Amino acid sequence: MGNDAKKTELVPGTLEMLILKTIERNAGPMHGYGIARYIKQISNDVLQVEEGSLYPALQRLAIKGWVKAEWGQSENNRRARLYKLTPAGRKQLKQEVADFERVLEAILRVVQPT
Amino acid sequence: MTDKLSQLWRRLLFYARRDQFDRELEEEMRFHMEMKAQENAEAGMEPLEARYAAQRQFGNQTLLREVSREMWSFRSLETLFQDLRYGVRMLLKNPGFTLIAVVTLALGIGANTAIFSVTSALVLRPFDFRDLDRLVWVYETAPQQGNFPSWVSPADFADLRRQQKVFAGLAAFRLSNSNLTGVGEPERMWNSEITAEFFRLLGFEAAFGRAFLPEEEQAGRGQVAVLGYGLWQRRFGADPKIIGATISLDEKAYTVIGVMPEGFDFPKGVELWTPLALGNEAWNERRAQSLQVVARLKPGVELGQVNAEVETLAARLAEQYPQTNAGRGATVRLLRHGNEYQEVFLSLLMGAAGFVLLIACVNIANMQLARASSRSREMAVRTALGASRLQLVRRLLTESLLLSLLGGVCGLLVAFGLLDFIRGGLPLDQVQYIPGWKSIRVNERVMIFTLVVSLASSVVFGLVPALQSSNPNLNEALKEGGRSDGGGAVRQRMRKALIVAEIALALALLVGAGLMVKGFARMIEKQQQGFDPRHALTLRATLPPSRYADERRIAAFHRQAQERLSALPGVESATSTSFLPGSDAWNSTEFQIEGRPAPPPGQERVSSYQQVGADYFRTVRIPVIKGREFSADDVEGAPLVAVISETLARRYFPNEDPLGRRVKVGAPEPAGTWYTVVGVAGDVPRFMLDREIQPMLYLPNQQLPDRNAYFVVRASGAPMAALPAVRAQIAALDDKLPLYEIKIHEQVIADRMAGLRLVAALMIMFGALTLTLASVGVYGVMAYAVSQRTREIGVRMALGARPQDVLRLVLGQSLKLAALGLAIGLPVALALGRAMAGALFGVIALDPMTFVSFTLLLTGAALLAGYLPARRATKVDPITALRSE
Repeated sequence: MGNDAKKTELVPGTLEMLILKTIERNAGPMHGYGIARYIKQISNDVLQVEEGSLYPALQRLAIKGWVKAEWGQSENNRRARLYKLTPAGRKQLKQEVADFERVLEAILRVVQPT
Repeated sequence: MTDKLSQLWRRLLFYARRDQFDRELEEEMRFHMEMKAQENAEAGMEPLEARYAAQRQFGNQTLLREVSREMWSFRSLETLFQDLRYGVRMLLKNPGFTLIAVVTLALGIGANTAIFSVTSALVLRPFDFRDLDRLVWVYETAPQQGNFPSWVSPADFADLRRQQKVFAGLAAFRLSNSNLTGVGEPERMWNSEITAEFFRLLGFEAAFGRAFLPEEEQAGRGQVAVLGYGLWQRRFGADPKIIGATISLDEKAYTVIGVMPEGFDFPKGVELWTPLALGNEAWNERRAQSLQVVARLKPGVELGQVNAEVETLAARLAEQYPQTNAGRGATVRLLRHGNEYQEVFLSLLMGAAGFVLLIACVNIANMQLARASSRSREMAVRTALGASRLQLVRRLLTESLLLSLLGGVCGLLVAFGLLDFIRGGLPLDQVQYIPGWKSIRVNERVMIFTLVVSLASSVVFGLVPALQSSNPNLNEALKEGGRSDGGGAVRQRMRKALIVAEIALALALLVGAGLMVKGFARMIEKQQQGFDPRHALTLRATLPPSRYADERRIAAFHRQAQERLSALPGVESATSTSFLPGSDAWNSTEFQIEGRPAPPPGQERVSSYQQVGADYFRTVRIPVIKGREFSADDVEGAPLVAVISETLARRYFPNEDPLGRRVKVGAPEPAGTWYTVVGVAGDVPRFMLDREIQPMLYLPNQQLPDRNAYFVVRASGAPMAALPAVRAQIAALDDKLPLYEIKIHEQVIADRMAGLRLVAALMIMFGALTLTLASVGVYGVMAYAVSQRTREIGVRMALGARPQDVLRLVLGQSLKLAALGLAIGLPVALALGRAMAGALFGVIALDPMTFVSFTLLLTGAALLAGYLPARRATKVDPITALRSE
């Protein structure tokens, strides 16, 4: 859709981790649009987050208490719903990243030529 | 744990503010879209184009909103509410459909609920005993005589009780009929003589006082009695000081030692128990099988094991006592399965009710399919908006569920009505002997059954239409615009298949019900064959042993009573007898023929016998074919005489004249008294379930008196009008003698047949219901098919088709469906008929009349159901039809 970069499916189960990490990196609270755009940019357009999965994922994180949503001001002074990390979310992120790295390392060990 | 709790809290919070959530989500998405549009614009798009592109990129907003929302909500619960709300709305929008569907379902579910209530009470829980499924009847059997279970002889019972290892206990009892006197009016009542372990075995103790002791089984010690709660209340004013009081049974004194708790009435209808105090001689009786035996299984013992054990014990007895026990086996059956015929009737009724419900479901499925055509657009729109197939199926099934629950509730009402009908279908003096009858009601078990049946039927009638209509062809359905959808070939085929199935089911049920009802009619007719029960007053009197100790006194009473009754004005003749014909009661005995060797054990000559007074055959109107009947001269001291039935004559005197031959009742030894055959009388059926007429031997009650007798008074006018005079005459002979079972002979038989008649009435009801449902079903499909073809018919008429062509077209279609259904239904009906003929006496499997008439009836119904819409079609104005689209 107006973008020639090859679209890559997210590795299943990683969307929540990506969202949490994105919010952590960005010092302040972020809105949904910002999160999607950030993931896309930082991954050089490789990772695209569909709106259809972004918002449900954000709801899920909110239910679990890992992010907290508040209405605030966007960078262009519009009212926007901003998400910020909770302490529980921070802990969860650490856990998920650790798990992910362990799995990734294992996968690399399998696929890399010796 | 706290995690889960806080999650739940957040969810609840959300639930309370879900409108706000919706608004906020909306705003969040709008914001997202605007940002996206801005991004697109910065990339150089026109503002409008940028906006559309953003919308396209965003995808299905409705779906996203739904999904986000589901994330929060108690998903299943909320969608259920939503589906329910939607279902209610749809049902209210189509009140006609809803009404017909609910009524149809209510009839089907109601029929099943009612029959199940009866089955539950009579078969599943007929007695309120602890661990009912560990209680059994013990029967003796004779393989040569068709394994017909019979009671147990006292000596066999004693041996069984001593030698068995599988029962925690065995108890024997027998019923007797006694005159209770001493307090108030003399009363005729059932009492039971029981062995000491009887109450404890069934799990009951006396409410106060005590039960019997083992030593009270000895003759001479048994003058003690336990009262039933009802009797104690009714007759003894619930006096707690009754223990130790003396009552008089058949004018013998008994000391009351206990009162049973309320609700204990086993054997059914009994309110008074005395010990089975047999003398030594009676306990050694092995031939006469006079005791009913109940037993409780030891824990952990299986029914099969028990059967093997009693079989072995019986075989041992047969070896030890070949004279009496040759060929005798033994078997057990669960206490609650005591009545085989009742269970056959109930399972047939249950099957019929199941058919009715199935046909009801087919009808509703058909209506749903018809509706589905008009709803295919709605489904298409929903699919386009992102509803998954699963969601649509769920929604449609919820609708069906609502229908079936409504049907279930109304079905309960139908069941109440049906149960009233069933309860009123049997005379009171019969139902008190049917275990469980009093507890026929809609209880929790029945409610659960109704719920399960309702849910199951919602799947049966809801699933096919739901799957069908949840799979719309989007393009087609949406393109068709406002036009009514033809329903698609698949759907039409499905509806026709359902109709074919419905007709097949209906034929099977109608033929089955028809065969059964016809069989019953044959039995009822047979029950009164060979005699005339009209205009005959019957009543019963039993002479108490205390005042009628010797046979001479009994004979004298019967002779005098007969003379007095016969002399009454308005009475044609009167007599007495030990059994009433057509009442299904009889005595059986072995008998001997003079000059012929005694047959080997196990092959004895057996006949029913009864003792009758003078003029018996004339009064009851049994024709005497040969010789003469008993007269007032056949008394004690005169030559001993007998009358035999035609069947007995044919079977035992095939090529000779039985008149003048001599017969003896009982075993060959000891040498007894011989009776000379003086007459041959017409056959009278003994028992409604006998497969063939059984031989009968009549002996004069003046020569072989019986203290238990019925009087039969044939009146020239209304029989009941003679009753006061009859009473006065008997009272003149003995004013302390209670008279009971006072009925017109016809009524005796009608009461006896009430059960059959009730089953037949229910069958007819179910059959009529089936016929109606099937006709309505065919009509519905044909009417719909015609309405769908209005345009086509209009074109045909415009092109010159005459009304009769159109008529033929539509009728041909409905006839084709009917023919196919009947072709499938016939073999099913044949198989059903064969199965029923095997299980039920009186049913003839291949009754051409039944098959032909119901096939024709259904064909007629299908033709009529096709004719009405067809005629409407011929009235179609071509112009209107063409414009109607």
